[in-house]
Amino acid sequence: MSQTATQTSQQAQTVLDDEQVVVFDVANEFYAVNIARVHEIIRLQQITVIPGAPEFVEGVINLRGKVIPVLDLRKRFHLNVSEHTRSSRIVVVELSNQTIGLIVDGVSEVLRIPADQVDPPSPLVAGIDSRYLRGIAKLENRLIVLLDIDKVLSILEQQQIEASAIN
Amino acid sequence: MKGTNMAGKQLTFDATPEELNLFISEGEEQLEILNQDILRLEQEGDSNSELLQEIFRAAHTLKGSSGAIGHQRMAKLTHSAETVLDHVRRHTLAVSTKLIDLLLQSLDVLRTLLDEVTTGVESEITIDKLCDDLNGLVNQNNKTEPDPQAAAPKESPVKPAKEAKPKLEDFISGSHIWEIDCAIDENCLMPPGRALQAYIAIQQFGKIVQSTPPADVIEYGKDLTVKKLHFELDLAAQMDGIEQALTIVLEKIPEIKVISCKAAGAFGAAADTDNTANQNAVSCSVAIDAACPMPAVRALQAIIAAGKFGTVITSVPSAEDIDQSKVTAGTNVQMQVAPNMPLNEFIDSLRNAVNHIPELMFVESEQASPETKAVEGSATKNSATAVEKITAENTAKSTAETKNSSATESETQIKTGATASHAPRMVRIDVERLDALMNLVGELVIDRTRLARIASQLNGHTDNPAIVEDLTETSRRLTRLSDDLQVEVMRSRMLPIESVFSKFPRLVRDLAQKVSKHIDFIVEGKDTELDRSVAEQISDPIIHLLRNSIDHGIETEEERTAIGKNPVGQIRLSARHEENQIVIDVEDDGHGIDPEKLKAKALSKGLISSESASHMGNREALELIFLSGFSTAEKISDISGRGVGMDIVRTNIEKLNGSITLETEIGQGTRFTVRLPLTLAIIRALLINVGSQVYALPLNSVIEALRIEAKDIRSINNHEAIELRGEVLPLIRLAEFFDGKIERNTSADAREFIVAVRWGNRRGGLIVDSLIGEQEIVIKSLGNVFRASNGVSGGAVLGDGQVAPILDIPAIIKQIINAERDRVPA
Repeated sequence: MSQTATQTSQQAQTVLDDEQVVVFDVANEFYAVNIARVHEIIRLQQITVIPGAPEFVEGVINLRGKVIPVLDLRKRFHLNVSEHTRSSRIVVVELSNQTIGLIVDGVSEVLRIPADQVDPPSPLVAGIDSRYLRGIAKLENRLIVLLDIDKVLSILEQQQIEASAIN
Repeated sequence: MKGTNMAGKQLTFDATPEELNLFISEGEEQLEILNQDILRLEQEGDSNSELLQEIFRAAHTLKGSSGAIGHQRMAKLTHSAETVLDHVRRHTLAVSTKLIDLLLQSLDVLRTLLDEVTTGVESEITIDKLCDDLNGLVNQNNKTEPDPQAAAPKESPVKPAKEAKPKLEDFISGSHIWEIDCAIDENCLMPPGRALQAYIAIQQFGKIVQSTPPADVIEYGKDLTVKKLHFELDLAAQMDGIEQALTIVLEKIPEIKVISCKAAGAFGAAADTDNTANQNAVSCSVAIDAACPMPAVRALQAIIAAGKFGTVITSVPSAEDIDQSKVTAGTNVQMQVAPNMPLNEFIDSLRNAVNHIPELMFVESEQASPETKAVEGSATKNSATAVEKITAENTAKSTAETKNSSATESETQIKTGATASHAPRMVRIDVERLDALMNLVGELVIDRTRLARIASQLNGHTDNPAIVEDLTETSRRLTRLSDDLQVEVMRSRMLPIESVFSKFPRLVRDLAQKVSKHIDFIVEGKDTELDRSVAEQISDPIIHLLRNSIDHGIETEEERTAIGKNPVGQIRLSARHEENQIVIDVEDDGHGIDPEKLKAKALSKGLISSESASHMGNREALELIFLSGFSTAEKISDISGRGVGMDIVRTNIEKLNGSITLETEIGQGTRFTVRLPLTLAIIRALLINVGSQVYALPLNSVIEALRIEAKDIRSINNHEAIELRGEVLPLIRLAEFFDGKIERNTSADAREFIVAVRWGNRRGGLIVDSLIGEQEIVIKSLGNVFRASNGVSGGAVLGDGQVAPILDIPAIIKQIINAERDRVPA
């Protein structure tokens, strides 16, 4: 029991530390992913559509010989879908067992977020599914949503399994 | 480990982890050889002395090396098995089913014991009963059939390996006795074990003619108290550095100390007069004709001839090599001979004698100078012997580093040394490294295609055509090189299918025994090579097919006799290459498959409707066997017939981009044909366009591509089809298949591109927007996200870096069939 307590406090400790994140915008909102998880940021390239893929999966791209799936975060978060622009980018992130690309409207900066500026996610904030969120950072005059990148896909996979079970 | 009984005992071995790995891989090889050969023994009986020797040698090696690392249980069991094999080899014990059963059982147990080396934990298996049974075979035999040889097997239980030798050494006066004295440490806890290790180590160098304490005491030496060991070793041939090699090998055994190791003067003058003889030694070389059918005999004749005029000190090939027929026609026999007559006379006599022997030719003779000898030993003039010497030294060195099964290794190395020019030079490579290499080649293939594309795009779009030409030329060269590289890498990953097939004879034998059927199992095309990754995955489907044939295919003996068939059933497993595929047939001469029965069964199981059953042709009915939940066995047996069989087989084969079909004739038998690509990583594909996107179709499922008039497309039951050479080819529009959109080009003079594809016996036509062409593609997995995607099996990276989905032809054809079926009743 004391062990559990230590673990919890350790987790709390990590959250309390400063965090370096990559900030990008999707539908005029700012989102951030821990910099350690970002593999690279690339320009939008031609995406191959895979027939029968889930709707929010845009398709696949060839990342130097490796074929990786690309997700549109707008679709993932059920936001308005718009045409990709010149500033659109693919943020390539490493998940525990695979690499995926996230299409964002633009990448703005790399920031250091002090831990005391982060609030726990509230279901009411930002209008997107709070399951994907790790917290909300209040910085000067803007809010940055910290994404829980593993959940973005794990929830996706769960839905997939459900979907294929129905089929 | 705590909590388990004594079976969980930790094991320690006298070897480093690397040595243990070597021991494991060698052990597996020996077990594999034994497995195959013992089955052959069952079939061929004990008339094939070569086979018997091979079996015996494998068992002996296994015993030696397991003794060397101190795996007592393994050494004990191999010893019992070896004793039985020795009797079989000497024809004092007949080959019986019981004997084979016991030997095969021993192999199974040995495999478990070998696994103990990996896990380091003693398994629960017991060997005593098996050892008793094996010994029982021998003892029982002794009672019924008193044979002087068999009656006294204990006299030389450890050394029979060399015993069956013809008295070849007697022809060569150069056989040498070495006396070796060792001491076992006072504090040693298990003197018998150390003594046995020493015995085995020494034995690798030759025949032990005398041992104190005697071999049987050492072997069973419960009451071995002596701490001093004395061996007299009869070397097959003189070898330089033997003393060092022996000493080092022995000193690697813990608690063993070499007191002395010296040549004895007992046999002939050779060893004794080593120095004086060598002073006069003559190097002789005799060539064996390249067309000689039995070089070993000629080599022996040459040595005997030389023996008439002097003392043969060394020879390459050695007596042992000759004995084991390790002599290659077209090579020279090199000898060191100490003449017993004046040199000129000796050379003339020898030349005369040798040239009178057919297929032999005296090449040269040269007196070795004493100075050289003093420095480098008598073998310097004789390159082959020099190799032998160096190898012996290397062995000594390497033994110093790797004391692993020291003796075994030195034996092989010395032998290799003697036949250095003929031995295949092999390197063991980790499979992962080969996989990495294959991936890199895949990348290279992508890039060279891209380069070729850039070159063709530049053509005509630049002011400097010379550079473009240069680029084109370079790209062509690169294509050639990477093609060659790809072929080489693929070949290095290839295995003979024997590696898969080798375990089947045993399997068939056991299963046949279980169902009391007699089956003649024929394996053909064992040498057919296929990619390692395919080989790894093809085993299970074949096992399933074999099980089906044994259980359902072949009739019982009574049934067969009743209908006038040979009571012994036949199953033929064959492999061959056909184009870029490997084709495996599993064929039995059983009662065949009745399509009507299949239909009835499927109907009763509710897998098909009575409506569709009545429409079903024979071919279609046979396909029912691949439906999931289908089993035709009247009763469920533990061999097969759980009803999960053939659909799994088909699914697994299709995962490998392969296909399975069957042909059957009632009363005559059934043949399943499995077709597989040679490799899984790179395939040839037909690229097509649908909408704005490129798709790849694996070429092995493409029959042909056609262009037809839109008006030729018929609508049958509201389903599009065309007639292709008398057969109806159902069509599917890929654009609709993927998007669900229906945009039919209704203008009558429009043309459509159709790619006819097949899956098993089924055909279908895919309507595509345009054809692009053939290309080699590298298959990439799309990952879990696209698990549910129907109709796509993977992704291919094309020359321009784009990804093209690879179409899953089986899934698409299934869809066509389902659509057809749905519409038929309408």
